[in-house]
Amino acid sequence: MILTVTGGKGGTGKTSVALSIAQRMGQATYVDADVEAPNAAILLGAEMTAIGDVTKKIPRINEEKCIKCGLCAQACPVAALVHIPGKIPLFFEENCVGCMLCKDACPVGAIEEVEEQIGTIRQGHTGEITIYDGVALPGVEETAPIVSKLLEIALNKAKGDVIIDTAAGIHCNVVRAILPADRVAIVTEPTPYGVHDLEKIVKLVERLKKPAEIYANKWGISQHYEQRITEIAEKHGYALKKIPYSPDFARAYAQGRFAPLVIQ
Amino acid sequence: MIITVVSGKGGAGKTSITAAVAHAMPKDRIVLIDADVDTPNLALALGLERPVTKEDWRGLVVAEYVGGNTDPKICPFGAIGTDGNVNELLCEGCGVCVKKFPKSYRLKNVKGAEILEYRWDNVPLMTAELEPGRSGSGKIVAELRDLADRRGKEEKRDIQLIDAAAGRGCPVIASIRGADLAILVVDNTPTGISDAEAVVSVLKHFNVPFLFLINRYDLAEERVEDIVNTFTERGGTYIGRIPYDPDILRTYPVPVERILKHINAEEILKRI
Repeated sequence: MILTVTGGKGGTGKTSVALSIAQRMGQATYVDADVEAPNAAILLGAEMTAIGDVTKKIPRINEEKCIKCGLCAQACPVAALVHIPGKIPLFFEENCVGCMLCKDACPVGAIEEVEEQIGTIRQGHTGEITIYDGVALPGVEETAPIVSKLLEIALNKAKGDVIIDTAAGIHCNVVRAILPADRVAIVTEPTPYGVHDLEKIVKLVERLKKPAEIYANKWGISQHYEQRITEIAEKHGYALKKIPYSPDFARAYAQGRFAPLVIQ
Repeated sequence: MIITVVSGKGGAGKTSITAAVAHAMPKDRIVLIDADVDTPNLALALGLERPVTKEDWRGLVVAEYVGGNTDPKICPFGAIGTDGNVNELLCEGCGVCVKKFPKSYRLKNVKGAEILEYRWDNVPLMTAELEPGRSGSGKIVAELRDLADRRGKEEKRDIQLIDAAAGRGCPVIASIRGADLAILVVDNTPTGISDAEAVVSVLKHFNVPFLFLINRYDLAEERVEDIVNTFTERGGTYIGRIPYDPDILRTYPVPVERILKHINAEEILKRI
């Protein structure tokens, strides 16, 4: 079974809920798919080892061979190569998607393909849980390939149940982490912001046609917003699980002592 | 003058702090941007319920399969299925398939978001609501910044205050690029600190100086000195620490005075 834990808003407790579920499963694989802010390993104090690089292909122009014809820039779909007549084309790496159509277009073989690192995939253990995460290098804008590579490696190696912990938001990196799921756990909190963002993530989960349930964290801090969450759960036919608010948990978390949450 | 509020970790308090900082600024000079287009909450934090304008943004481009030759492997984002069809939620609109198979694929514009403009008193607040699952949040942020530039020129407002998304990828970089100053919110948790350090690397990459403050400092007070030293060493200027107050979470609009009294707003105002 693959369970993806997501939530829209950041800081509602996605990782804490995901780890609490994983710890109850016994032997499980935990995939931290928040590659821009991976946190599960830190919470569990797990030592992580790099098991692979994520690279992107980029062109390198051999300036001696280049005849300044500009065909590479014409072939480039994303304006990563810009040709000024009579000059060697300029390369804007942040636009490059690594398709290498420029290399195919070059009539004199002046473009070679180089692999550039954009992130690292890591593995670690704690108790019976195997953790995989991915870390984007600073300044890397397009992190989707890191999420894809991480999921590919982790799902290939996984034995038993798998928990995938997503980034905050409702963007394509979250979509990538939901797509392989059999079920989705949506983590929210009874605050105006939690409820606002819950409606968005529910829309996404419905669009992806995944069965889901809602985990309402910090239950007990606002009756008004608890009522709203209950209504949203009922409207969509999702089971609602409640996690009582605990100031002790917040303190323990801050001090680096992670204890599983109580899920009712 | 562009000031961007960042944290790396979600839920660190960016939006509440942005709302508080906005209160401390000269209101006739600012334009606000909520660049967390996945889950925009700044309007809510300021107690604004209804936008003044709401428009579809159809600047997002995705590929469409019209039949014929194909090869799923050519897509850098794995968006092409074995039947040649494009999964729109994975497509980044790069157009590689169109270049490779011009007869089989074409690009089309789709609705990527709704662009909203609120008014907080007279202050323009530009934001967008991403269509769930769409890519392109970086492009939307760029669009919001263009709109904010325009509003700024029209209304002679020379300061933009940007509330960035969580993370440190495309939409965050689109919020940081060209900024004159960042305000870094360090959530006083092991994960909050790690994520904040990662964002500092991105700020350095784009040469953006930063001020920093610590949120929920009293949850692990013994660590505060270390945090101040770490981020000071990395070039930041310390401007305050805010205690843990779960009441702020359930209150809306955000009780700004309760946040602001812990922030050295003078240090921010000095820079503008």
